[in-house]
Amino acid sequence: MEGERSLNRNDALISEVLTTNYAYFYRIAYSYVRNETDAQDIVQESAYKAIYHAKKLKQPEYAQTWITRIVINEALSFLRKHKREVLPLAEELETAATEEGLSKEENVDLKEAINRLGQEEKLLITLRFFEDKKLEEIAEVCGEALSTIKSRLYRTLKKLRLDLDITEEEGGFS
Amino acid sequence: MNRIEELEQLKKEYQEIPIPEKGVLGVQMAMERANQKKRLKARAMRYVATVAAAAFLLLIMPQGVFTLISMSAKGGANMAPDAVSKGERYEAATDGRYGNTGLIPGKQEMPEEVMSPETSDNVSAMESDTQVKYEVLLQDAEVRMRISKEIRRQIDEAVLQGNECFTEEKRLTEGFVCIFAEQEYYVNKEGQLVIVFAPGEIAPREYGNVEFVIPDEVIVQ
Repeated sequence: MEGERSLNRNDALISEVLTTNYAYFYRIAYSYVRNETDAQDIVQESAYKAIYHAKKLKQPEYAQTWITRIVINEALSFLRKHKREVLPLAEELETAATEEGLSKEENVDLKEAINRLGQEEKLLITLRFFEDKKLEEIAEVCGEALSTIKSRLYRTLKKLRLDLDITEEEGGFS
Repeated sequence: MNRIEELEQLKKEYQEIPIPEKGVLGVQMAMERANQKKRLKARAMRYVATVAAAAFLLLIMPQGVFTLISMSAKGGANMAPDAVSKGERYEAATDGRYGNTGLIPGKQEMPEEVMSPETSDNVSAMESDTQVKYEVLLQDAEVRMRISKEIRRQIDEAVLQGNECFTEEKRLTEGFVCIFAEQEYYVNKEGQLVIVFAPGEIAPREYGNVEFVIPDEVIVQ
C-alpha cells in the first residue's frame, strides 16, 4: 500500500515538474537538435519515459534533475540516430574556419566555438551560463563528482578563451 | 564585442527560444500514453496472478475452487475500483460531491406506466447519445484540459471551504494533475458529466470515490 502511494506521489510530482518547467526542458532539447519539432518530440518522449518509470525516482527532491537527465539522454539518442543529418553542420563550420585560414580555437566567434565543443562541454555551458544552474546541480544532472565538473568546466572555458570565475555560486558572468 | 558580451548575447538568444504553444499539451498526451500502458500492464499482472492462484488452488486444493466460484457468484469482493467501467451508469451511495463512500452499479428506476416500449427506447437512445457525446469529447485533449482545470478549481474551492479531503498537504503530495482519455465517469440525471476518481487516486483512500460534476459550459465552448 505504501509503495502504491509513493508511486502515485511520484506520478503527480513528475507531471507537475514537467508541465511547470516545460520551457526549461524544451530549451535543453532544442539546444541539442536546433529544430522545433524534434525538440518537442524529445520532450514528449522524455515525459512518457519519466511517467512510465516513475518508480525509479527514489528522491522526489531531485525530480527536475532526474527528468533533465532523461531529456539529455533522449536528445543524445536522437542525435545518434540522425548522425548523418547532424554531421554536415559540424563539418560545414570546420570547413568554413579552415578556408579562412583560422585555427580551431582562434578568431571564431563564441557561438561557433561553442558549436564545436563536444556534447558534454556544450551541456556544461548551457546549464551553467544559460540556465544559471549551480555546479552541484550540474554535477547531479551529469552524474559526476563536483570536482570533475569544475575541472571540465575550467578546461571548456579555456578552450573558449573565456575568462570567467567558475566558483561563483549564482549564475551569471564576472 | 568581447567574449563576455558575446556570452551574454548568446544567453539572451537562448532564453528567447520560442516555446511552442501546444507543447505542454503534447507532454500531457505523452503522460497519458504512459499511464495507459502502466494500467494495462498492472491489469495483465493482476490477471496472471489470478490465473496462477486459480491454478494453484486447482492443483493443490481442489476444495478451494468451490470457494472461489462461490465468491465470484456473489459478485466478487475486490471488484470495486475496476468495476467502474467507462460510460456505465452508477448511482452515488451518498449525496456528497466529495468523499462518497462508494459507487453502486444500478439501473435508473422508472414508474412502470412511463416505461412503455417506445419511451424506454427513447430514453435509451438519449442516454446512448449523451454517452457517445462525452465519449467523443473526452478524446479531445483540449476538452480534457478544460475539465482538469475545472476540477482543480473545484478542489481549490473545497479547500477554502475546509473540506478535509483536500488539505494543502495532501494536495501537494497526492495532488490531482489532469484527467486522461480513459477517465472513469458517468452521466447524472441532469445529463451532466460526472468525473469519478477511485479511492486513493487523488485523495486518501479512506475518503472513497471522489466525484466532480462538470458544468456543460466547461465542456462545450
